[in-house]
Amino acid sequence: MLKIYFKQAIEMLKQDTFTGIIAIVGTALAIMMIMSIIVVDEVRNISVAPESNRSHTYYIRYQIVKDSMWRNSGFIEYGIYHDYLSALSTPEYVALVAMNTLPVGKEGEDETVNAKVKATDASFWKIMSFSFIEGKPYGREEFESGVAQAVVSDKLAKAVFKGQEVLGQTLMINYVPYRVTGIVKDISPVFRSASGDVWIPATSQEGFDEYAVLMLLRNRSDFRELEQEIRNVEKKYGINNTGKELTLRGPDAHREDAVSAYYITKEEKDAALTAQYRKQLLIFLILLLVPAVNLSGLSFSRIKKRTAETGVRKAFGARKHNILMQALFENLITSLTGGIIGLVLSYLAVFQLKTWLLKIPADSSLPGEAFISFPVFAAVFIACVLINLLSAGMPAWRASGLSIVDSLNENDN
Amino acid sequence: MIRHLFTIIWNGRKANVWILLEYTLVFCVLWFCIDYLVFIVKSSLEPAGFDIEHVYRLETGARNVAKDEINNRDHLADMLLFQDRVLRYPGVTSICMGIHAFPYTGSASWMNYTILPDSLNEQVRVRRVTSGFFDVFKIAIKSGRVFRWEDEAEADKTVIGPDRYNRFGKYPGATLDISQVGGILSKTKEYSITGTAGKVKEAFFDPYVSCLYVPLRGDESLRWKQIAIRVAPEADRDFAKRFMKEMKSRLETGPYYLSAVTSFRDIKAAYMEERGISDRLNSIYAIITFLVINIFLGIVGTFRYRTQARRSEIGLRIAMGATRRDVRRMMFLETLFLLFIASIIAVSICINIGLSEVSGAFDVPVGDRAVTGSGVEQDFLNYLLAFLFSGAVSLLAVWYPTYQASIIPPAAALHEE
Repeated sequence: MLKIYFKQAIEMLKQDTFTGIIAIVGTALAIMMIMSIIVVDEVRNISVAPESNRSHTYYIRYQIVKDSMWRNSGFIEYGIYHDYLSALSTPEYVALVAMNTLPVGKEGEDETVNAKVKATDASFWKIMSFSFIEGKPYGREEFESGVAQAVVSDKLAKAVFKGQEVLGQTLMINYVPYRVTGIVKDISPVFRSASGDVWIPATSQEGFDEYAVLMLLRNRSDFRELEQEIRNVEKKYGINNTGKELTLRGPDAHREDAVSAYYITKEEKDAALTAQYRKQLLIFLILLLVPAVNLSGLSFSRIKKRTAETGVRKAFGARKHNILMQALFENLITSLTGGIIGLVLSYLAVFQLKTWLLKIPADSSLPGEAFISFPVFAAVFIACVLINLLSAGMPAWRASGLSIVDSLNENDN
Repeated sequence: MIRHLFTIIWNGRKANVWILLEYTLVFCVLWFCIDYLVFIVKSSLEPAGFDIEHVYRLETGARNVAKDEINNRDHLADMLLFQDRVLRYPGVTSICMGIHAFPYTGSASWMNYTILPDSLNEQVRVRRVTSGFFDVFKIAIKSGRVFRWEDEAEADKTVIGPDRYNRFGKYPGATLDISQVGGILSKTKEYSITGTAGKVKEAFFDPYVSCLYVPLRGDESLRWKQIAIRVAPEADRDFAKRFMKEMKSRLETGPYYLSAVTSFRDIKAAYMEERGISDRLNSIYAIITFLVINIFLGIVGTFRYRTQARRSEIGLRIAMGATRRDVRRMMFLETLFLLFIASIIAVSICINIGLSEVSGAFDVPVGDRAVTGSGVEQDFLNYLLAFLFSGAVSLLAVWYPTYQASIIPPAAALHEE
């Protein structure tokens, strides 16, 4: 049966190539735009090395300290991490990250390059899964004693040492000598927390004041407990510092952390996230509705042309749902063709427009896992079926509902 | 003629309903896109009040030394020494420093002041600057003069700047005319006014906000001060790179070093990026492209089908003496008439959405009309632009089907009857 539908759909396309092409282009365009949004979302949120634990990682990035005179807000201070957050018991690991752009160069040479330097603790290496070309990261003891050790990216190592042996060499970071203990493969900037050129123990240098705290949970079900623990930290701070009040933003899941909206409290966060979801929904609605209405006119005329044929089929005993299913299935073939073209175009779009869509430099790489994944393919299929139902549903329903005589006479008023 | 068009559209109502629906949908989305674009264009055409051409920002870093060592330095001496060294570089015409002062940096400071003579207590934007600020950014001095920042005796002098309506005070809704301001009281000081400046915006898409310029003193480390220089136009070739290379070692002042030289053009671009403006513009261009292609496909598809279905009607018209131009004109007018009906429906939807402020709940970018000081005329402008734009695209799309229709040989068409 499906084979016949398929043959018939191809035959229809041959007969009226022009309308067919318009339908396919219309669908492809809509799918391209929808899939670009979904692929970008997937790139931002998929758990893949080095940020292979995104689904279990929670973030705290902002703090507010209030007293009777002042209200200071900003990124997490080292003291808050050291005195309170590092001792959290719910998470498996608690990590610390901050980034500065600093001059980096070879010892004894004036020439420096500006590098993105990440100041972290030792747990950072547990939460992230970097692939080391040589050497290893600094550990807990090195972090606690502020040893000047550095891990560098392959790209930076090549830029500074120009092909010479790197491991064990001295690297000047902001005019302070560091020993290189590890070299890692380059990290794409889509990994906001992991990426950088150089990683050093946060205790080894002054000047990093804007920290983010990452917490890795064993189970996502521990979230409530974590949230409770964070609120207790705020209370404890109030007890230790009379007259002062601490508010920590979060803990935010990865998806929430990636939302670029300003919020502090849970209510503000919910409002900001709801607005974002509504916006997303509105965009999808426009992207689906405009082409659906557009194609409705087309499928209306395509189905109308075949009213007589429908009449004959009915006269030979075809039921209403047979006619309906056939019309929808034939149309689905056009939709799916458009869908596949649209998906490929969306990959091209994301690659070409990554500076805009993903806010990363034009020469950065993208994780392939985000492009070829089950959610992406499922989304294409659902979008195609939706466009199909929206555009051919009404006309097919009308055609299937006509009486045999009216159909044979092509009288559809 | 119009009645005739109505009849034609009514007769084809089944197919026309889809076009009408699409036009309405497209017109609504287009309306909001155009509203935002008009806002951006309008605000970028208005003078920002400052000039960033040939202006560079210098950034300093501090070597890894103990915090106390930095805190105990003579900051005023550091500033003067740094300024003096930069000004010796050929091509640099002026230098300034500031805190929460520079445009396109997103750093701003607001404080409560008592404004004399009426003792209004209002929150006002404050920029702490050296006198060079007005030279570097070419901010107009409308009356009086600028304070001398390095002169201890002028530490309580100030220059004030107005908002869009030449008033001074809180934003929005300042009531006091700038010429009436008699003095400014802060918690610790009484400032007397030495001059008034022209109106400025933070970035071109921000509102004109009245502002207080006060002398920057050596209260904090050079590390935290914004520094900018103006370069003579003839010297502004590959300047950033050259300056960095030649001045890096000469500008070492205690623990401070020169870490970056950036042109304000780049800073502006980065700020637009950060504030999401370029993002929004890109999204709007993408949506407009999507709509244009859709209108195009929709119109081409429907009208092609329609000319085929109406072959005999068109044949009859030609046989009865209508010229091919008449046939084309009729179909063009039919399209525009459909668009017109849709636009009336759409515009009433859009204005109601705009009034109800639903857009906030959807996080949709809307141009703040208070920023550009515009009112209802904006609605007319939006309508006109949206109509012209979708009309032009539709006519382009309908051209091929009408051409096909007009070359139908009347005899062949009538034969089908």
